[in-house]
Amino acid sequence: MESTVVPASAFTAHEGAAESADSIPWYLTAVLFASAAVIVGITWDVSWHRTIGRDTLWTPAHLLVYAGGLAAGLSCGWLALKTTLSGTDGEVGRSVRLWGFRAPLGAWVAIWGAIAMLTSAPLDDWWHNAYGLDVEILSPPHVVLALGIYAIQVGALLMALSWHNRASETGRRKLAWAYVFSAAMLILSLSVLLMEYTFPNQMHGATFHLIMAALFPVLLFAIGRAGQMRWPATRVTLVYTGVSLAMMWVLPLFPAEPLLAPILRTVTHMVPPEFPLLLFAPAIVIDLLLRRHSAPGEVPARASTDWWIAAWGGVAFVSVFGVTHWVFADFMLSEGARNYFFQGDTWGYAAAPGAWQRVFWHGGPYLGGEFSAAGFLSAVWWALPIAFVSARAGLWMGNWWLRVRR
Amino acid sequence: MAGLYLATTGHVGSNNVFFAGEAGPYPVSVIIRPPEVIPGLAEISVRVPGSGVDRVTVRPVRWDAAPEGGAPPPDEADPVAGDSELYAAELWLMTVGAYRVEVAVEGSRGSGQVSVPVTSVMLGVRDLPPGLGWILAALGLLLAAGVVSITGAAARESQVPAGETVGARQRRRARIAMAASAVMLAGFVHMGNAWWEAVDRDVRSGIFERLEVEGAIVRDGGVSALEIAITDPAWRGRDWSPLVPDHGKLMHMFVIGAPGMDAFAHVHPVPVDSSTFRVPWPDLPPGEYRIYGDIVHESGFAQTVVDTVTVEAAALAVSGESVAVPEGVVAVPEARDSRPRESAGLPPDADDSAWTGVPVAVPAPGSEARLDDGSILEWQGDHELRADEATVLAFRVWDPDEKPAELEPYMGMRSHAALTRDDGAVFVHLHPAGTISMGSLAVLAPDGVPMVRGAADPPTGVVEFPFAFPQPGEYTIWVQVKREGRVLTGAFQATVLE
Repeated sequence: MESTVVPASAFTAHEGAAESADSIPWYLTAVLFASAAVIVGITWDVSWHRTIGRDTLWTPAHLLVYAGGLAAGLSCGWLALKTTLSGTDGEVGRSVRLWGFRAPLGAWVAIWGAIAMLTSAPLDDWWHNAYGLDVEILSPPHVVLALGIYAIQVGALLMALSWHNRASETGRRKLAWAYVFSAAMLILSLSVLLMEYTFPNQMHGATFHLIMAALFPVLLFAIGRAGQMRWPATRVTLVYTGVSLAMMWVLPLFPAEPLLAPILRTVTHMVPPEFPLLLFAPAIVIDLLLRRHSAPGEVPARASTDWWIAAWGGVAFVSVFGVTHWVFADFMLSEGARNYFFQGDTWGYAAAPGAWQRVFWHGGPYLGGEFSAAGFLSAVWWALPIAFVSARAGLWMGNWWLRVRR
Repeated sequence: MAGLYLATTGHVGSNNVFFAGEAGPYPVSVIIRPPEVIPGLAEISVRVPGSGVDRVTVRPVRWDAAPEGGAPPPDEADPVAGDSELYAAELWLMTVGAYRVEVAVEGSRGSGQVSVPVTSVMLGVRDLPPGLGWILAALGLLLAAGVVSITGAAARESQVPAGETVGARQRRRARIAMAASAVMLAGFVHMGNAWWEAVDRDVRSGIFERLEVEGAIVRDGGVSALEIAITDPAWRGRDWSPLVPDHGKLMHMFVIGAPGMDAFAHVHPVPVDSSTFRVPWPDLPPGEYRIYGDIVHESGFAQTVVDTVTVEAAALAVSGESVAVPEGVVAVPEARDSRPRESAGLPPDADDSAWTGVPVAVPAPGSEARLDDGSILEWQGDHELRADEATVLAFRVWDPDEKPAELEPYMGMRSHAALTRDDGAVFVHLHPAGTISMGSLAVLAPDGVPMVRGAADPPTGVVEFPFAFPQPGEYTIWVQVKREGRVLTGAFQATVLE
């Protein structure tokens, strides 16, 4: 794959114009805001549905999601028109062509996301009229919406990356937060998407570990590889943890009650999201591992190195992530977690109270059942090859991210 | 309504609920139009005649809701502009099953509450309107083209340093990337389409289907009897809860001679085993009959089972009577003994009744039907009926001395009415309290069953039914009252306009 060390700063000489190098333009700020708004809005909306149930098009959570879509669509749309019609040499030089227009790659992805969100609105509205309101959370119109949201976040990351990659040594330090923030929002989105698989009650089951091994290494290794700073993956996971905790602690401060029958549980305040995943634990190991083989922002000289990193990294991810969450889940189901700080054993109004709340679900979704070590081990070892493939794909993606210039 | 497959529950051809009753000191009439898909919004309107009303609230309560905290707080019904007595609200029905809607009124006369049963079912699935379909297809194409083009742009240009030109290598990479993304996209679209179709099938499988029954004429102790067997596998597999009595009967069956609308009976089959009901064949001539059986489940869920039976003259021959409906019969039916026949296995039921004749077409001078005992049933008020227009069907019974008749309660009600569109697409069993099933009400709100004061009222002879015809067409309506211990039936025919 990569045969030479490619210092990212090698290209900065071409940038020339001071307008581009080290400062964050307003439209990048707008797209970063959009990336945060859509996922914070979605988290708020999930809480709304677990607490109040009834909603309209105009709940504050929905408005925040629309605001994100609008901010991304309008700012990137403006950027495309500006670059195409009256772009400076610098602006044109850091744009890609699409259908005769010019804009940075990330802007095109974000515009696509905004159009996808727009498309999902009438489709979703008809869906509700045809089939009933949200029979399933994961419905085709919601998938179109989710794709739009992810596209906006990926667009934000790509824009942050191109600025980051072009910046001077000092400018890169200033731009680091844009990269960290946009990557953290992507991690947050993935964790929200996986919400129904990451209850503490599921953390002693093989399914949980297999899904985590498939989906997180790819992002964490890419983030670790492309971050031109110390501890990139750790920083990103800490921002994810901070934002998640902030929502987990702020939402339950607001009184609310269910407005849809049947109500199976007394709920008096907004139901918070679960305690965030302890992703910083494997992230520390991933950062240490990557640092051993190449400096931040560099690709290892030998092509085979990334295969070895992926192999060891996969084992490291599965073991560190697995052990921390095994112990963490025991704690989350204990008396010690049933408080404001950890928000253990907190459920929405539509969850019928029962013993299932405080046990591990070994017998399938929401069931108790016996844990079988043989059954668990015979399934969970697959996490190793899965994590290896995921980590290798992440390194490939991270190397690609490092080269993004436009 | 295009593309909507119509199914209904407690009645045929209309799932809307009409209710007239009292919320404490306030007379109320309530109309509930349940959504076609569940979860969905039910439209509710509440009419409270008179002044001094401060607040009207509505609240849906599922049949199995916990007494405390099992239902959301009541919703305010908003006054309707231009009508000082009318209040409107929308309520979410989230699951399939029996609900009661609690209607509460507050004002200068104090506060009062009344419950109205509603059956919440999936009635159908709507097709995508063509206009919206084209818009979505265009947006979908734009998004698909966007994916391919953006992938190409990413491979071609995104990693080229500013100022440098795109080389042949990048162009080739872009073409490969675009081809690959197009193939993957096609795969995803195919999977998405398969998923959509699976959801559609799944939702359609949840569309309500009334229990399947089979009606037949059988011999019972040497007498002809109508037998109704519930043949539905869902009933035999005990997917449905057992039945509970409504007005003291497990099944109210209406037998309607079709297509002539010249024979009618309201009988009450009794169970002979867990899925078979039987009743002596009423005093009706041989012919084609539609049968409609109203039943109520333990949860308060009401539905109407439907079938048709052909009654051969030979099947009734044992009665020694083979009556054919005479041609050109006059509007005054001959006096006929409407009491049921006894048979060995089936006890007589004084509430069973039968009628033959020709319905009085309205509007017509007087619009009166002569009843078996010589009294007169007059259809009062406006005869210009329009589909979907909330109205009150008002009738007045005059005794043979032309004084308002004194009516006795007939199965707990001042009157019963059955109406059908002549093609059978609509069938509704009505009471002065509306379309609701008293059996459902007894389950869902035991304290809320209204007291019938028919006999105690001053004899005005008036009976009224709140209703709106769901579809235009030719309708026949049979009105039944009880006087001097006899059940009397009068029939009218009317056209309901668009």
